[in-house]
Amino acid sequence: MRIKQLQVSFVGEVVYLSIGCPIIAEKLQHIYGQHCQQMNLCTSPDISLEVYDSAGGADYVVVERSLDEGVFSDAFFNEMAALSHLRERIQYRLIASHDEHLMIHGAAAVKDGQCDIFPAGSGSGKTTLSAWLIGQGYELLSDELIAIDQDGCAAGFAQALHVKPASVDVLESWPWIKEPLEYAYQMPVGGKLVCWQNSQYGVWVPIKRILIPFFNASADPVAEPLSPGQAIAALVEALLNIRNFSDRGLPRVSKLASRMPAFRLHYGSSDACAKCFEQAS
Amino acid sequence: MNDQCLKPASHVLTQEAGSELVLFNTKTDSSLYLNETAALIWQNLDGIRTVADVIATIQANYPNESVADDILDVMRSLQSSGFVEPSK
Repeated sequence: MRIKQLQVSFVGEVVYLSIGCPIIAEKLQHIYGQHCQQMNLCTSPDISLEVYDSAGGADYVVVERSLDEGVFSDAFFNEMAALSHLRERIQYRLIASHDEHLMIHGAAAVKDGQCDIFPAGSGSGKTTLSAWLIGQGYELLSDELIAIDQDGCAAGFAQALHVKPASVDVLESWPWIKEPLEYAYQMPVGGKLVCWQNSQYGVWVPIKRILIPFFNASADPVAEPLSPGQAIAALVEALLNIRNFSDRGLPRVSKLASRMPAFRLHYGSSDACAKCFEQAS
Repeated sequence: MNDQCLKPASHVLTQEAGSELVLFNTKTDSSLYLNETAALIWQNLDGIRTVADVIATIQANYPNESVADDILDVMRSLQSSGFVEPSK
């Protein structure tokens, strides 16, 4: 078995991987782009992938050293299911003990040297919004995970866009994302992983606005201004490493919310989204 | 409920934002946004005054409308979600 040693890093956190499947190793490098580096030697990987031949094909076993030094493993019967699990665990480990920055579940995109952040939970339309922003001249920092420092700047974990099944048709109608979609990885539960290049890798970008996406197909497009308290509540909801702060990050979140305008974007289409962006300016 | 005295639960953190408040329940990892009026209710829940006392205090700020039911709803909601607890 040819084993590749990789490391995935984001804002000082590193996850060490030992991958016994060259195809999956290559896909991980493709998915994580500059966040993923190949290493010559990794004596104690956080996560290992081992592949065993079986009568029906191959079994993929992901072995993980837990943060308290125990070991647990999960078995998968196809390559993409194993890859999907690896992605979940890598992201979890990047966040699990990080207490230097606010780790926000959300997207971020840069224009004219400043970025808008889009804190929101799963299924809120972050990825579709992110893909749309690429076509509007924005450079995407991330569609999923951003770190925010004490100075109000954001850095993005620029992994592949995870497009949900219901959004694939919408994205296919946008010419700027059509080609990357053709080369996307099909996920086992539907949807696609769309790889893209990000030249803002490792750059901390000042945040201009906090925009909370609220997709509602029947809604009139409105950018509803949020009070500081509402903005704090929205950021707290999206704060992934909240337990790593004894004060739950509330003072830092409050400082952030007091520095910049915040809006909740009610939109039901990309045209409506454009109107919301105008209103929020 | 009117005779109860409610106080902020010990596992709740608060963050002020002007006249608004954001509460965070460290037991359930849930947060709650309180607008100006709800924040006023929260600030009156000191574990000494009864619910009826608090309603009377806040009602005095709104002489032209009855807000008692709304205040009770807020207090019930705060209690059911573990942000406040009876003091005795």
